[in-house]
Amino acid sequence: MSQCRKRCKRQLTKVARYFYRFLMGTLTQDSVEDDFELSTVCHRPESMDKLQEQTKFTKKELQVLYRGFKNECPSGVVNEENFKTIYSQFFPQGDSSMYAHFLFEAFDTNKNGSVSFEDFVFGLSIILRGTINDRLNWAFNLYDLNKDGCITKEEMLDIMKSIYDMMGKYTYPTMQDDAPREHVESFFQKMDRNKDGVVTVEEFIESCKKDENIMQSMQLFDNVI
Amino acid sequence: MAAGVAAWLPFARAAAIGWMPVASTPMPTPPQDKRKAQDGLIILNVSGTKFQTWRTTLERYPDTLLGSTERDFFFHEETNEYFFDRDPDIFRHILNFYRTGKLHYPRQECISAYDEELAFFGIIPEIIGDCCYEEYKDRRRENAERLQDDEEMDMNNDVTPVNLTFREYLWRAFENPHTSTLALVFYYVTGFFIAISVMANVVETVPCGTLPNRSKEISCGDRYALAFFCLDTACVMIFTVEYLLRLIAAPSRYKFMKSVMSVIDVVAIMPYYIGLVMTDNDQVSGAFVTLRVFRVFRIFKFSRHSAGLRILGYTLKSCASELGFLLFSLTMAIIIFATVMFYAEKGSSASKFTSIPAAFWYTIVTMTTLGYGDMVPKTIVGKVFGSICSLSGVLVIALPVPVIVSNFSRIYHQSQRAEKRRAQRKTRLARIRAAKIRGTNAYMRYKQNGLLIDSLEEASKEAGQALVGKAATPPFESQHHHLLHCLEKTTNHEFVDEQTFQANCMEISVMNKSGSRTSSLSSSPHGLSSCCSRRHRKKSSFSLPSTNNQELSTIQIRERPVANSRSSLNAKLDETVPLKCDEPYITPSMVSLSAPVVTSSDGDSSTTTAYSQSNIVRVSAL
Repeated sequence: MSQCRKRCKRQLTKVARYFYRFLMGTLTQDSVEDDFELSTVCHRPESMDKLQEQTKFTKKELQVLYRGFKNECPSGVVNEENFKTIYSQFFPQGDSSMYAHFLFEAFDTNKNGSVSFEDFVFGLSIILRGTINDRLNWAFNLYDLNKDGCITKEEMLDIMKSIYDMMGKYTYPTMQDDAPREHVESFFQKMDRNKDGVVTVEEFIESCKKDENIMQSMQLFDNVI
Repeated sequence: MAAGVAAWLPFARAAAIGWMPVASTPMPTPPQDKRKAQDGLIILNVSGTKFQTWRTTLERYPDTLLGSTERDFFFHEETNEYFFDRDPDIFRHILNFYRTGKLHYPRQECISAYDEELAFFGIIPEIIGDCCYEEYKDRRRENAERLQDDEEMDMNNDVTPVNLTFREYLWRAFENPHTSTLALVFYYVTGFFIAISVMANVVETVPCGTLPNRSKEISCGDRYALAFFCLDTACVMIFTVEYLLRLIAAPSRYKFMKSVMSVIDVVAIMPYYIGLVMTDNDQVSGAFVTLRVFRVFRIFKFSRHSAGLRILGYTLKSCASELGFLLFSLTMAIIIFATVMFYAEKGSSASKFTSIPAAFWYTIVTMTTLGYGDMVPKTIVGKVFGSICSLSGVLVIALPVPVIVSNFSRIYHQSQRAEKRRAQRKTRLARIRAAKIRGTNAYMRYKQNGLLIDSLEEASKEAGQALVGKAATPPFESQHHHLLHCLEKTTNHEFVDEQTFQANCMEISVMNKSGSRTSSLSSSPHGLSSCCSRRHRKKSSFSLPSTNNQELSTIQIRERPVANSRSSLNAKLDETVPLKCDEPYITPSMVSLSAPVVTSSDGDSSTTTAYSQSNIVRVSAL
C-alpha cells in the first residue's frame, strides 16, 4: 500500500514538474550531444625496424602496405564497419559482409574490436610469407569460428554461406539454396578422416597436404605485394 | 570504384587464402605483373607548380590522360618531368581524385574552367562525389541557362521580320510587344480598354440621381444605358478581335485554347454575347444578371500586362497545399467551436444561434477577430466559450499567416530542390548500376581474354609462333579480375550480368515446357560447365562452321563433353541445367551469340542488349 502511494506521489511530482516546465517554456531540454564518439584515437604502429624483425616483409613492402593502410584508415586502426566497407568494394555483386566479419575475427588476434597495423601485417606475413603449415594453420583458424580447435559442420556451413553470398544473385548456374550445404558435405568427406563429424587441425593439415590443387593454390598469392 | 581502395587489393587477394582449402577445382593462374619494379615517383609540373605522386597512384584510372600512355606526350626530356600548361589550382583537385578516388568541385572556381580541365584530363564529371555533386549541377544548370538566354536574345535580335511568315510575326508581336511599334501600340490600347471596361462596370452601379418621374435613385447604368452599352460594345469588340487574332497566330491552337489566359478572355467576353442573344426575357434575366458578374474577370486580363500578377498566381498555386491545410485546420476549429457555442446558447431565449451552421458565422467572425457584433452569446457558458474561441482564433489564424508567408519562399525553393534531387537520384542510381555493369562486363572480357590468350598460346605453341600480343590491361584490373575468377572457381558458379541471368530463366522455362516432348531430359554431370562463357566467347580467331547459321526454334538437349575443352568452342547450344526460375511464358531459344570485340564501355552496353535478342547469330571478324 505504501508502495502504491509512493508511486502515486512520484507520478504527481512528475506531472507537476511537467506542468511547471510547460508554463515556463522550458519543455524541451537541450540534450547533451554525447552521442558521437570523438574518434581521436590515433594509433601509431611500432617502428619499421621492429616490424621488419617480426614479420617476413622487406622495408619497401612494409612501406607500401602502410601507405595503403593509412590511406583508408587515417586513425591507424580499422574497426569492423570500415573493414567491411573496404572489402565490399572488391565484390560489388554480392554481399561480402559475413566473410569480411570472419576475416576481421581472424586478423584481430587480441580481440579488441579493431585491427591495428601490426595485426594486419602479422596476418599478411603468415599468409604471404609463411610456411605451408603456417598458412594452413591460419586458414584453419579462420574456419574455426569459436576457436576451440575443431571445425564443426555448422561453422563450416557459416563460412561456406558467406563465401557463396559474395557471388550475389546473378550467377550461372543459378544459386541453389543447398549449394553451400552440399559443398560442406563434400568438404567434410574429404577432410574428416575418422568421420567423427568435426575436422581437427591435424586432419585438416594432413588432408590439405595430400591435395595437389590446394597445395598449388596456397602458393598462388605469394607475390601480391 | 574499387580503384579507390586499390591499395587494399593485395590484402583482399591474400585473404582469398580462406577459399583455397574449400575449393575443389584448381585456381586460375595469377596475372604476371611484368612491371613490378616500377613504383617510382612521377613529377608533374603544371605551369610551374610541381606535383609529385607515385606512378601506381596515377595508373589506378587508366582511361584518363594521366593514367594512360597519353601522358607521354607531355614528357619533358630535359627536366625528366611531365609538363602541363594548365591551371595548377584546378589541377590540385584532379590529382586528389587519383589519390582518394573522389572528385570534388571547388566552389570558388568557374564552372566552365573546371569543365574544361576535366575534359582535358579525360575525367568524366559524373564521378563527382556526392558532397559536391549538387553544387556542381546547380552551377552547371545556371551556366547553361545563361548561355541559352544569351542565345535567345541574340536570336531575337537577329531574326528579321522579313523571314517570318505573317502568322509567326503576329504571334511574336503578341508575345513580345516591344519588338515593333505596332505591337506596342496594340498592347497599350488593349490595356487601356481593359481599364475602361472595368471602370465602366464599376461606375455602372453608382447611383446617379433620380429620374424626373421617379422617386428613388437609379444607378448610372440604367440612366445612361445607351452610353454604357456602346462603351461595352466597343470594349468587347476590341477584346474579340484580339482573341481571334491570337487564336489565328498561335502556333498550336489547341494548346492556346487550353491555356489559362485564353479561358479568361473567353469568360470575359461571353456575357456580352449571351446578353445579345437572350432577349429581355424575365425568366432568364436573373441568370443574365449573374452573368454580368463574369465581366469582372476582365481585370485578370491585366496579368498579361503585369509580371507581378503572374508571379503571385504562380506562388499561390505552388503553396496550394499549405493554404489547403490552413483551411482544413480552420474548418476543424470552426466546427468545434460552432458546435460548442450552439449547445451553450441553446438555453437562452431569442438566441441568434439557431443552428450550428448559423453559429459558423459567429465562429468565423470571432476567430478572425473581426467581431461584427451581430451575433453575441448571452449565457455565461456561452461567453466563456466565446472568449476561448476568440483567444484560440488569434492562435489559429495569426500564427500560420507569417509562417505561410515565409513558407512561400521556403516551399518554393524546397520543391525545386526536391525535384532536382529526385531527378539526380534516378541518374545517381543509374550511374551506380552502370558502374556495376561496367565492372561485370570488364570482368567477362577479362575472362574471355584469359581464355583467348590460353587458346592462342596453345595454337601458337602448335604453330611455333610467338605469342600474339594482347591489349595491355592495367595490372590492378587484371589482379582484381583474377581474384573474382578465383571466387568463381571456389564456388563453382559464375558471375553473369542481369540480362543473361534472365535469359537463362526464360530458357529453362521453355525447356520445362518442351521437356515432355523430348523424352530424354539428360542432365549431364557437367552441369556446372562454363556454358555462359562459351556463349560470350569471342569467335574472333576461329570461323564458325556454317551450320551455326541456322535458327533454332526448339531447344535440343545434348550430351556435353568436358567443360572447358577447347574443341567445343564452336558448340551451338547450352546445357540444360535445371535452373530455378518461374517465368511462365515461352520464348524462342537463344542461340550462342558471338560478341564483337569491344574495347569501350559503350560497346559493353550494346553487347548486353544484343543478348536479349534471340535467334540472331552474328559472326565477328578480327
